[in-house]
Amino acid sequence: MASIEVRKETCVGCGVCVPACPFGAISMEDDLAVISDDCTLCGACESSCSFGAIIIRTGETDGTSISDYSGVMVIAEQRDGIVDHCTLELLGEAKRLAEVDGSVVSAVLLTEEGGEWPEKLIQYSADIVYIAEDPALRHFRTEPFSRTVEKLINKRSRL
Amino acid sequence: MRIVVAVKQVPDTAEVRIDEERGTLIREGIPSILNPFDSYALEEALKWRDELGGTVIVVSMGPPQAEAVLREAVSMGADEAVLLSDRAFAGADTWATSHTLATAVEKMGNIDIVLTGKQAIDGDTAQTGPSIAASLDWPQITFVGNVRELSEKHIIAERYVEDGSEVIKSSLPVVVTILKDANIPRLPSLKGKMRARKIEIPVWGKDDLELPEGEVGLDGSPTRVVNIATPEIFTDGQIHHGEPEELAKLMADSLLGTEDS
Repeated sequence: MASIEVRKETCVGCGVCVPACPFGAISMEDDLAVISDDCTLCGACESSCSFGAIIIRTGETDGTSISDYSGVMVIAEQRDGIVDHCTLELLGEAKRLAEVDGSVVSAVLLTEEGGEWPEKLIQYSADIVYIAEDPALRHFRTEPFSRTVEKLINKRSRL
Repeated sequence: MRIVVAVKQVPDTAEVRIDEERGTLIREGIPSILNPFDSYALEEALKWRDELGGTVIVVSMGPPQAEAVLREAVSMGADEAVLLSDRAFAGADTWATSHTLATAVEKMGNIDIVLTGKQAIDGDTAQTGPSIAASLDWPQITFVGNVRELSEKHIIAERYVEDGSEVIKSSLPVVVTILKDANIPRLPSLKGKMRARKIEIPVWGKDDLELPEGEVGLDGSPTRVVNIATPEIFTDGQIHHGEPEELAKLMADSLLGTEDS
């Protein structure tokens, strides 16, 4: 189980962590930060402490490792077959993120008919465009959309 | 009809003031309230229960003091309440929170519909409702401003989107997130308040839900909050009064950086 600890020998009693806590869970007792049960392990105090005196420990986690995945995927939002402007902005942001580790930017377009949009998405800096065309994808509905994207991600864990 | 309403206890942000000197929020003495958006979900549940019969169960995951919002919900008319509270739940992100809530819904059994507010006013993610649906593998209808029809077989609801509304029909069971347009929440009744004082609220922990440590709390959370900051307040704005021509010149000079010319 995850836990939080104040290292007594490192804590200088400066009290910076007290207002940093969004839950009012830290108080000072004898020049030492004390964390009450109201703590939700959010980590705000850990980053506020200049002395590294507050440590949050996490337990063993099972499940998939995030390092099995790479790349940045942008889900193209379309309405009546027209890709929304925010998607083009997201591609710019995705490119910036992908440049950090030289990974690939992909766009996913779920629509009834892609038309010229895949090419446009490439122009707006997508390296790969995945297109799913089906009359069922004409209007946004949570399940067809999320299941299609989920399948795509699982099929290609390295996108 | 068995309806679950998932609610959250949040700080009353209307009461939060800013410590001007330190630029931080003053949190001392801030009362905790039922997330306002959740009260619309609760009202919607009560409204349909009153019409169709059945049970409204409110559930919340939080520290022991979150019990207060469950009692408030009972005072408004909820039939049952369950608190999900365990040290092991601390530090949960939206994934772990919705997974825990979904497991509780499964444990309750035979639930037809789960309602939530569209989002909490303290976290603003709007992820927990949709993620409960994903965790349960149920269909979902988000941002519902009007529930047109509800029966044992299906629901017809209007989603309010940017440029109008979408009418969605879904089979049950289903998860629905409710907007404030849907209704006006009722006030607690005296009878309800008395019931709320007496009702026993079971507390379920991770063992009651048979959840392993790696699926709850911080350990079960793929995301981390790495920093929380208060937005900076800028106070160097200027106000000018005068004739339009004069002001236009001032503005142009300021934009062009030719103020002294």
